[in-house]
Amino acid sequence: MNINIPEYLSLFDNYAVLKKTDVFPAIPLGGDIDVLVEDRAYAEKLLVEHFLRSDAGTYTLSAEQRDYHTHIDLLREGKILIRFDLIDSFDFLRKIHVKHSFATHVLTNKVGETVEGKTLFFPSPLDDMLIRYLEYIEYFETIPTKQKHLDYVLAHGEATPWPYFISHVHRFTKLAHDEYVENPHKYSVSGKGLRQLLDPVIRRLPSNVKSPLKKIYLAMRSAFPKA
Amino acid sequence: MVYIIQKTVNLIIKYSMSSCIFGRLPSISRYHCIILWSHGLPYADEVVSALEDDPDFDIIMLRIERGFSVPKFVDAVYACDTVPLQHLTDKNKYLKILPAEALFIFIKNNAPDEVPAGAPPFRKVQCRKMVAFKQFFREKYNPRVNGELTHDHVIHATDYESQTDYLLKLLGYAEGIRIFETRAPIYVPYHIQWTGQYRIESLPLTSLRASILFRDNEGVVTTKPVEIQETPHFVGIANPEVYANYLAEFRYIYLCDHYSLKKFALLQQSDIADVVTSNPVLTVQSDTHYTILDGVHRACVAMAVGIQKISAVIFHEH
Repeated sequence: MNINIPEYLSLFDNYAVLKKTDVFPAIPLGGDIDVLVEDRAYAEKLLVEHFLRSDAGTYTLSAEQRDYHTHIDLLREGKILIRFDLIDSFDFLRKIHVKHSFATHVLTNKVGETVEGKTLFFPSPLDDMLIRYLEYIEYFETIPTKQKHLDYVLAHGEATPWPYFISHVHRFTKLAHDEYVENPHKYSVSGKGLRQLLDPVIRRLPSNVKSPLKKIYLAMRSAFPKA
Repeated sequence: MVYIIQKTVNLIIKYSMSSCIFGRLPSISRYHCIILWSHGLPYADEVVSALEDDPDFDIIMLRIERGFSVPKFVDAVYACDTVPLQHLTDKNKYLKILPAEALFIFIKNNAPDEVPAGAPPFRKVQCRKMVAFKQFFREKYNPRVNGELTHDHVIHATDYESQTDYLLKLLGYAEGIRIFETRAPIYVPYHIQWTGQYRIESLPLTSLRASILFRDNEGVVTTKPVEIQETPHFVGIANPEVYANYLAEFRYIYLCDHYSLKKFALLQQSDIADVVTSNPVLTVQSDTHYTILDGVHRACVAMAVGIQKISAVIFHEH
């Protein structure tokens, strides 16, 4: 893969590369780079323009704008080589509410680092820890590999005093409270559905009665599916 | 005393309007609409050419309207105006006896020059550039009676952007000027729906097809996909009359984007490889080929100079 990742990243005017790996800018085949940008549409425009100038003859670019992400993939022979995952807020997180000011804070306090002759920008250490922590909280139940982000936070806790980090967490996040949602399967105050209530009676019926009753029940269930 | 109050009120209105203008400028450009009424249509080419020559104007859409109820349509067009009613009534009197035919030209003005104009309560914002543009053609082509210029205007132009929005909605574009604004990273004409899903590839020109208009024996206009070298555009590079005839037959009714002989000639003189790099053709994929949605001219010029492959945006079909 001859895609010059630092060159692509240096196109964006106000950005921070999130969750940098130890081997960055090397990206495994099919891997992704998460980038927080000020304006997703503008960042996409810059990236597409650069692609058209430099790589359109060699690779394919595929883009998809979603609610909170813009995915821009560079492909060859139908296989994704790299994905740029552009975000301009942390609104995609469901488990913790992140204030809008956090994205601005990350971009304001980003730090520059020279990578392969280009100055690239990353979140400050404290912001980086919070971003990784958020990533862990959001996905640890479903994606086991996200444990690495917690490990990173714990490993870097010595360099960044914990009270600072805790205060940072409280400054920019709050828990998304759980709202009560009516159970659609609850049909009676006893907590049992009608069918469950009738079960003891139905079980004692002879099979020649049970069989047509079952047919009626199944027909009714298909005609009036549960919400 | 009355004079002082009047002056103060004027100053307040002027100040509030100015701040209002600057406060709501979302971009550096404005959309305008120019209308050529039926007695102005013979000058359409000259008007379009003048717009093309002005570096601040981009022509976006040209659409001719026919067969409307003239009194109702003229009233509807001017309903968004804020000038005194008597002035409008006088101006519209002449228009209402004209044939039911008008050309609407929508443009992007990249150098708006908006100033408050007129006296209260009919004070309004006017783009001085647009005023000068329409004034030029009115002085040149408005009918004259006994050598005197009449107010039977051949050309009308919107003074401010909300009028353009109104006219687009009047013509059936429910979203108004929003149709001209996409968040696309490349130029996408207003008539192509932007979904945000696409891919960009370098495609052989031989895999592209253009939807070309043709009129069958019964006079019905339809489109058919043809290879690039069979298009009137490609043939027109060597024989301009072919392309000119094609434009003359379909423009403003079926071809409502900005096409002209001058624009095509300029494209042929440009570095086409550079043009298609910054402005790829827009396509949609079918089983055997890619149909061009926008960029037939670019593809034709590229093929004419011997380019084999060009960058193309391929929209995902829904």
